[in-house]
Amino acid sequence: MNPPRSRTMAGLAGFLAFFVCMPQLPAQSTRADAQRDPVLKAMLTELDRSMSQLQLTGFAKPFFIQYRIEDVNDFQTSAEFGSSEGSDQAHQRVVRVTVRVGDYKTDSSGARGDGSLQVTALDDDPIALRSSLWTATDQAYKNALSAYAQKQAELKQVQTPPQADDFSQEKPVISLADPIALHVDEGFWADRVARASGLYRTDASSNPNQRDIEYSSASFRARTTTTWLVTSEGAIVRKSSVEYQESFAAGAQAPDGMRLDRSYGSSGTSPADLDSEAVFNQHAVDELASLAELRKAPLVEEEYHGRCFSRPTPLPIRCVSSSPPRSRPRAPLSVLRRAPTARLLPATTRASCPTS
Amino acid sequence: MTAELHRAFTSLGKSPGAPSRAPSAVPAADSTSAASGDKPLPPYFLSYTVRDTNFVSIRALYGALAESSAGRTRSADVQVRVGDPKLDNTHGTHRGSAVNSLQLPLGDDREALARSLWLATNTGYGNALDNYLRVQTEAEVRAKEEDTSPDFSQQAAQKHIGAIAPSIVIDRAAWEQRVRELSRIFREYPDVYENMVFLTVQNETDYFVSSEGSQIVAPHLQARIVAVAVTRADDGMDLFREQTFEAPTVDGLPTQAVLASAMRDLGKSLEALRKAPVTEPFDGPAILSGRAAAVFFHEVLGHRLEGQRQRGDEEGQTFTKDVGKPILPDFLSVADDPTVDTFGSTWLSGSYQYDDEGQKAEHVDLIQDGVLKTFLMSRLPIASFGASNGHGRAESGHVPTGRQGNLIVSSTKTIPEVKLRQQLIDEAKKQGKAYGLYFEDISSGFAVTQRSSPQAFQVIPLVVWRVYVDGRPDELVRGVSIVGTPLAAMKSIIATGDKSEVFNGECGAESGTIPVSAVAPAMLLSAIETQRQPQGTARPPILPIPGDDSQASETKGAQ
Repeated sequence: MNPPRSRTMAGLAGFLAFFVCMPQLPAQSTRADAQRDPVLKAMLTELDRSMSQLQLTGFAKPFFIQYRIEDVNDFQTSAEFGSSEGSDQAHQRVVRVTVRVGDYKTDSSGARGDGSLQVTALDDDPIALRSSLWTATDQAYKNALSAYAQKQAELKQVQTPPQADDFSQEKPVISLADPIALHVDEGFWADRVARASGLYRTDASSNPNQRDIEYSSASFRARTTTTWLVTSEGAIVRKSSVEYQESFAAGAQAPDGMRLDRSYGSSGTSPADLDSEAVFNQHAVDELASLAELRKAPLVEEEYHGRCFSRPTPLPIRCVSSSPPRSRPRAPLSVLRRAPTARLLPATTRASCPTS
Repeated sequence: MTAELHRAFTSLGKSPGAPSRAPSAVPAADSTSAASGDKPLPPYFLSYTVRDTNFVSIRALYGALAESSAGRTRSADVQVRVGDPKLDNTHGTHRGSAVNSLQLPLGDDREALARSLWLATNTGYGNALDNYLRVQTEAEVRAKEEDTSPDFSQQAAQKHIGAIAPSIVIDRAAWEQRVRELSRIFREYPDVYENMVFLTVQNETDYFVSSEGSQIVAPHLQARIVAVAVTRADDGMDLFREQTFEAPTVDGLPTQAVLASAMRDLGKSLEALRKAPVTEPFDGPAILSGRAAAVFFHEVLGHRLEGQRQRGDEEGQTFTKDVGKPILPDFLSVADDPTVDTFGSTWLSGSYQYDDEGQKAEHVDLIQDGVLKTFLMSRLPIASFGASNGHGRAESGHVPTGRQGNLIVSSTKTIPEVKLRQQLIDEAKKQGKAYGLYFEDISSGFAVTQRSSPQAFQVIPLVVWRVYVDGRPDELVRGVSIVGTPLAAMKSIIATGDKSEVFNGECGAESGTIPVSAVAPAMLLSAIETQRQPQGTARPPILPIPGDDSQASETKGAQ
């Protein structure tokens, strides 16, 4: 599957459109297959121990336990003004444990969640993995007992208790996808985002306006997430995904102090899904040109109530233009002037309007 | 840095009506009519501090690796002062307005560095102007301040181009294995429910330039291992022990055998602690070990000798008017000396060559023969002292204030620790107590110096022993912290041991978290007060820890 490339005008931080690549699954996996994975084996061992032994005398045993371990391997590199700000690779595993006390009809679950978290080992060390699960399970069980007692007390005060069950019974599945490893040419991407962030001065069409650019940044991110999940009902799942994204953002300020920001992003499930460097850089240059035009654009002095159009949405939608807040009191080191109202967008720029 | 600082300093606020441009365009220019009518208001001081840091971080828990990372960062603090040294935008509660921070590109691309500094300078200048306006207004509407000292001291420019910090040389795979093995030792102690062993290595080069002409380049290296182990007593009290090992580089850290022995000591100590009785609040004689006394002095005395705490309407000013007067027994002296980097064979983590205001670090005799001589000064003057003594320190993103570096307590009344222990017993007998207390190790503490709160301190012990007067063996106890007020506590010191110990740690205050050291001999106090520590209520884990197969068929909590 080749997902469509995306384009967003919402700013660098808001660029969160990830695409998930799911590898092919082997047919008809069994628990024995799962036991060959050291992580799953540790999880199943601790799950069995907890289900058979975890109980405080005089209190209910758990009727359901779920263990989930997420392994997130994340690489990021960023650049500003044509120079790398550095790269960072973060690799972490987190344990999430859910314990339910009671039964499917009425259990300990509540609106605030019913689990506990622990950081766990990157090594496939069974004792270390089980120790994290053990700590989280102990905490989750004690929390579940407390929540279950509180829920029982509250149910005694209502005339008609909830009719729906708290938890559905599902047929367990066993699904074992291969984990995906993160492969990134770190130096290549560090250099590429450095070049993109320096276009404001290296691109011939952007260079004349470079003095107006307050920030010009680019970043690349690649992340794999592998999830192992086991439940006391017999579900065993191992799944893995990978995502890549490249972003560019630049900003300037109009002479009257209005903050102007433009950004572009490209994402996919492999580096090949991303824009080529030439295409990506052309988009970045377009955003820089748009900034230059925006700086010169006149202000909208009055509120506008009418129709506007937004791509790719083909239908006209109602929108209202009103005074946007200024993020800064003045342009760089310049005279404070009166507050603007709104700015007309140049003809080449597409506008996104609120849809509600 | 120097070029962009010069460009900004010579053009900011000096050309009304002309908008500023980025570095590669026209020279920076500015109009600052907003601050004071139409009168241009340039900054009178500008400085750039850049920290270029290489790091390695390795962490293990439960005997397995949980993190291993390495990288490099470069950050800048831009300090802008508007007004004049007598009254500027940092006055009173506006002190934070001087600093604006940002991440800098790592390369030596001059254009990229200048652009980043320009943006931060511009933002910082706007913020400084805004705060200066407020300071001027507040100065008009409030009553005269008690301390009318200037806001910034005049200091000579410093020039020191030291070595660039070298790249970190470390066999990461070998250290990953070492850290993993240290964490795995705690498997020998099944009642240690959690553990973490953490190695951090940091090689940093600090750059400082200012509009006064200072130019400083200084390296700072540190390698540190932190081990933390946790258990819980049957009554729900959470207990932990921690130990740190510091050196300039990983090669200076203790051998694996020494570290392994220390891990086992932590494990044994915790297993003993969880079985120890909880002690009741106590008021009587006590010995603080050297490490405990070092933390005690850092909290109880050191923070109250920081210069900025001697001015301001909200500060308790415990010792402000006591210069030249005795505040300690006459056999005690206290100095802070960031210029030394070892005490005996122990590396001191509070060492530095130049402080974070570009001033040369100085040995400062704070208290001589019990008499207060001076305070720890940054460039914030106070009524009694108008100049820095090289103790303006800050974490990135904060305005430097007077802080401790290596606080060193010395004594002329020393006795061997065996005799000190006998004196404790004698003192307890004299006071009619069944026992005195011996504080072997302390984790941390805090001090309150604001007027709005009691001028109190609290120090959290980790290992405390009862020393009985009737000859019974010493008894390990748990669950107390030391509390008191500084004036009374300091005057109750009656003797010291003959060996000093070092406490290396990190200190957090208004100018951020910074590395510090404290050195002190063991001390006998005639009276110390303790109170019960807050205690958790959760019972210990129900099932035994995985791997503790001897108990696998049983549950501890189920009864």
